[in-house]
Order: sequence, then structure tokens, then C-alpha cells
Amino acid sequence: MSTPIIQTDNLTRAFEDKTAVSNLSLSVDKGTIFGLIGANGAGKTTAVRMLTTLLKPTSGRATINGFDVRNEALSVRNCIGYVPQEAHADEALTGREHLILQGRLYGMQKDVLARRIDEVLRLVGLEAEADRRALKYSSGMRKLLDVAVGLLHNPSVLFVDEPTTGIDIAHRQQLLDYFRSLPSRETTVFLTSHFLDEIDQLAHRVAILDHGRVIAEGAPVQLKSQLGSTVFDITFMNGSTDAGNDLRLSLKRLGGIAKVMPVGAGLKVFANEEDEVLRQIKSVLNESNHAVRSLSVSKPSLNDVFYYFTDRGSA
Amino acid sequence: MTTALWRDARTIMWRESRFLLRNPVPIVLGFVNPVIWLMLFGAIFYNLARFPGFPAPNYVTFLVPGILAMNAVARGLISAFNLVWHRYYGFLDKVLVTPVSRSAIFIGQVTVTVLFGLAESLLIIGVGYLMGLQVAGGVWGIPIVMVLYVSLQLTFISISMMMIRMVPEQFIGMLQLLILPPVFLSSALFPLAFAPWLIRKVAGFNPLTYAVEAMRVVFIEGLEWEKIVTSWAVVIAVSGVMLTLSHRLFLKGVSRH
Repeated sequence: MSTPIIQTDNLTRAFEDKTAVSNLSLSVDKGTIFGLIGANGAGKTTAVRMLTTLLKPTSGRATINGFDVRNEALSVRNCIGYVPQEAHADEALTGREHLILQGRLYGMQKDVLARRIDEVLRLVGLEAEADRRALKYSSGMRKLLDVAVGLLHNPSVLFVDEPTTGIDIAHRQQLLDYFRSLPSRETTVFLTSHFLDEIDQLAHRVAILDHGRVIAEGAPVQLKSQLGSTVFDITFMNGSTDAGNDLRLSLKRLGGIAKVMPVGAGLKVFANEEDEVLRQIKSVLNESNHAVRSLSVSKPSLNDVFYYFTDRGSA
Repeated sequence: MTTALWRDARTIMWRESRFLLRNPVPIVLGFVNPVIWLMLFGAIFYNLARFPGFPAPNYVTFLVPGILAMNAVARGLISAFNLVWHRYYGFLDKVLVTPVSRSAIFIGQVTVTVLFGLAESLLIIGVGYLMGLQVAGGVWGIPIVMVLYVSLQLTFISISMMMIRMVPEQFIGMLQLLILPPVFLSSALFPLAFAPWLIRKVAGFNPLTYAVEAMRVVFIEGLEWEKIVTSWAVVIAVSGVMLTLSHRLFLKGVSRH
């Protein structure tokens, strides 16, 4: 469990107008699920494209299974699978033919390929649609097909960029369950997502990417514990964030509160204690002239982790 | 390595054949096009053959090589369109993350285009025959003309593959720009003797002229090997250089940036 299968060392990619990924240093253990999370434009896809040999790093290095993505691209390609973010189907091919194309490009034997195709089709629930042209598929079905394609050759690392975009709830849960079962089959999974509840369910470790930099990394439980024990979410009637400014200051002065930050039309309060802090928050709110719509108390979620570390209240 | 290259090229060809068989409309339209040209030009310039010194027994016999050359240009130039489209919209990425040989993508695409070119040139000759094409070179002249067609087409396939990194709109713009000049700056549609001095000079550097002249030798004079081979050598030499250059640019185009 402790051999790193993906290792990056100051991996950086600069485009003409911006540095999409900056000094990314990660280590992913074999047989685990790793989640790279971040807002749109944080650099997740750029990172995955470098790791899957589709994009050249500007500097730094990365290895997959010990192979350098820059100099040993062919060896890297042989051991990875890739599910891109946007599901583009080849308009000429049926679902099954997509899999045949992929299997042949990996040099799979005909009979092995045929058997494996049936397996992955069953897995993503596309057996009935397999011989229709993928052009006629819904976007969710195309994504499922991409997942089947990515898994076809039993890669040792599967990269999945936004695993469940466009997939309905029933298939979504099925897929997540399958991803969860993969590490036991010796496949390491590298996910990117902005659906944090999904990553929370699945990932053994996560890294939060913001403006191309990793701002927090660790097991979800570990990251959540850094936020304290309790999160209070306050929303206001008038929906104005500015109105909460004075309130923020008063709340910050209370004991037991680690951080107060504006989120959308409300405030998030991170605290180390529940009952006493709740009592105090209530009294502060009563004294203020803000019309409170709701006050909820919860354990920190990965969403909270994201807000906490990115300081991105309005995200 | 070589076996993998050939295996991958065959896979790419298989994929391309699926596409062409499932999208017969462009193939049929692409065939209707030269037939329309044959009929229109054949009708408009029918009497051209009566001019003293006209170098063919009838205008169709003169025109068929021109239409073949024009078709080789058009089909060649459009050959990379799918790849351009797939690269731009991300489908090619799914192929590029596999260990596929990049050269195999090039070879597969070129080979499919050439195979379809052979079939199409045969069809054009067939329609021409129904319209009065005379083949002095006999039955054996026909495969010679097909080889000339493909040799010329390779130059334009090469140009198309060089444009791999263009966005689809740019690619279509370039097609429109590139299709007609080589046709009109050659002896494809009218005898060069009738053309202005400058066009005669430019046509001398155009491989189309050589391909068309060699085809005309087959149709009008018969299997005059010396004339045919001399012209063919020019055509294939240009194509060889273009293919080499195109292969290099293509590999660069699909590699990581």
C-alpha cells in the first residue's frame, strides 16, 4: 500500500497568459483513490493532461509506475486509462466499436478483447445500447462509454476527469461503487472533481488545488478535523453579504470560534465546540438587526474544507 | 515495432472505413461532383474539339484526365478533415493516450484515402467511357491512369495532413483557397497552347500538368512508356518530398505541446 505509483515533483505548466499548474508535488500510493479537487479553472485538467502524456510540462517531473511522463511516454501510456472531462464520441462508431478500437490500439487479443468488452459494457450498463452509434447517445451515456473505454485494458492507473458529469443518479451511484471497488483490484484511481461529496465518499487522500497550487493535502478526515468540530451556517433574508460584515466582526470575537467567512448570502462559522458557541451565536444574532433565514449546525464536510482553505466565500 | 506500426495502421484504417461506410452521402456527392463537371464542361466545350490543332479526338477524352486530376486534388485536400475535427474536439486525445504509434495514424489515414481514390478514379473513367472517352492504351491503360491519379493525390493528401493543427473553420477556409488554383494553373481543362504565357509558365511547375499529360498520353496516344514514365517521375517525386515533409509536420502536430 505504501509504494507511490504516481509521483510529481514541482510539476509546472505555464501557458502564454497564465500558469495553470504551479509546482505541483504529489505522491499517490498504489491501490488507493486520490482526489484532486478545485474550482473551475484551478488547474485540475491541466494536471491530468500532463500525467496522461497529452500535455508537456513546462518544468518539474512526474512519474507513473516509475516511468517518466516526459521521456518514457510510451511506457506510461501502456499502464494508464483515461476518462476525459468532456465526453466526445466518435460519430462513426457504435459503442462496441469504440471499445474494439481502444482494445486494438492496446494490442489486446481478439478473444480476450471480446470477453472484456462484454464485461465493461455490463459494468456501465450499456449492453442494450452497445450496437447503436454513439452519436445517438445522451451525454451521460457517452460518459459511461468513456469510463468503459478507460477501464477496458485493466490499467494500473485510471485517470478520471470529473467522473459523474452528466450522469443520472442511478448510474452515478453504481459508478462510484465501482470506482470504490477498483483499488482492491490493484488499480489506482486518480479523480478530479468539483463535486466534493463524491470525492469525500471515495478518496483515501485529496489535494485541493487553487490557482494552480496545492493549498491543502491529506485524508478527508484529517483535513476536516483541522477545521474544528462544528460548522455553523447562517443565511440572511435580504441576501446581502455586505450586511454581514459587522456581524462577522462580532462573531470573530467570540471564544471557541476558529474562522468566520462569508459564503454566498450568508456566513460560515468554524468552531471547536458546539453548545456554548451555538448559544453565543444565537445571542449575537438576536442583538443584531439582521433578519436571519436559517441557522444550521453540522460536522465539517469536504465542502467546508474547500471553503476554509481557499477562502473563496463567493464560490 | 514494425508489426505494431502495421497493426495500428490497420486499426486506424478500420475506424476510417467505418466512418466512410456509415456516411455514404459525402462519398456519393463527391462522385456526383466530377460527373456534373464532366457533363457541364463536356457540353459547354463540346465544339472545342473542332478547333484545328485540338489535341484529342473529342473533348471528353481530353477532359477526363482533367476531371481525374481535379478530383485527386479535392479528395486529397479534404483527407485530414476527420483528424482535424477529432483533434480539435478532443476525440483524438482518447487515441493519443493509448500506446498507438503516431506514424500509424498518418499511414492509416493516407492509405484509406488512396484506396478510395483508386475506386473513385475507376468510377470516373467508367462514366467518361459512357460519355465517349476513348482509351488508346486499351484495358491496361486504365490501371496506369489509376496509378497516376493516386501518385498525384498523395501530394494533396500531404498538404491536408500538414494542416492537422488548424481549427476546423480554418481548415475549410484553406480548402476553398487551395482547391481551384492548381486546377486552373495546369492543362486540366484546356490545352496549354490556348493559355496566356504566364499560365503556361506556372503550369510547368505544377505536378497536375504532368499527371494530366501522362493520362492523356494513355488515352489519346496509347502506352507510350517513355512519355508516361517521364511525367510520372515528376509527379511521384513531388509527392515523395511532400509526404516526407507532411509526415514530419504531422508527428509534430499530434505530439504534446
